Amino acid sequence: MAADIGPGATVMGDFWHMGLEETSFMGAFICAGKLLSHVHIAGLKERIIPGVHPEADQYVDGFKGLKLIGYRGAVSFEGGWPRNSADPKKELPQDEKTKLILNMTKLLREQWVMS
Amino acid sequence: MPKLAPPDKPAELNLCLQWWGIPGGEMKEKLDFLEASGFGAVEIPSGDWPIKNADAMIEAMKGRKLFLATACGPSDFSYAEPEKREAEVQKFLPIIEALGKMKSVGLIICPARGNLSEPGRLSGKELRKDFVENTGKRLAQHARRSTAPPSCWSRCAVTRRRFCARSPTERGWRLTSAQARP
Repeated sequence: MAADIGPGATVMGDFWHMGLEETSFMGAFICAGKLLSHVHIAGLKERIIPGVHPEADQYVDGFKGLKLIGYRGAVSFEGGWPRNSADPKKELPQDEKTKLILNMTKLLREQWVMS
Repeated sequence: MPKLAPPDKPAELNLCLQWWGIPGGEMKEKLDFLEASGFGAVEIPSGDWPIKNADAMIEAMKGRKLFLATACGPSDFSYAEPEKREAEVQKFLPIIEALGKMKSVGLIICPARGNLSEPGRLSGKELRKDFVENTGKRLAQHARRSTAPPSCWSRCAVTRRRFCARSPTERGWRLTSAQARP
């Protein structure tokens, strides 16, 4: 569709949706190629910040695809936060969110190096 | 099977947060957090936000090792009534202009949200045709015109082979009417 629209239109990839619909993160990113201009990322078990379920949050295959196409755009977290186990009716405290953000950056950087 | 040509430049990981998720209250505080934590980009809201905050954001981004990624927000071009689709296009034109001013990568656009089988919606086939020939094309053309300098533009053409055969809502591969990163 973006090709049919022509210059001015690109595509974005979203790890969460791709996890539901694609057979290969790497293959999908390679197919997008130079037209890929933005990437969203979230946990692959729950659509929350990556790293809460590290056994499920495996992005190495997708990162390999991004490296193969020379992707230099943003990989942006789009998703929610885990429940506040201390008080499920309340949002997670900001300091907990900040810890999770830093945990995500560590996880993603490690997997980028591995890819 | 064709071989992939090696990329012109090596890939880099530019981690990014959406505006609402960045710790801090003020613009400067949020951007300081991103820089201090090693993020490479910031994703801003769509809607009125880019229009209202373009000048402040341009100023706040000066001298930082961050780039402005896309703006993200809801959109829907699946209305069966042409007037409603036109209203949606008109809503996004000034947003695209503000993003061009800010040298943002672009605007995330979903051709459809919700269920296309609902009354008052185009069919998937109709939506694709209208988006390619009318709504999407006009937004993309406007994005190109709004980029300064125009020579920043370099992206076009290739897309996923299966793109057209997918769900009409095109979840996961949302179209971005994008400006090339300066």
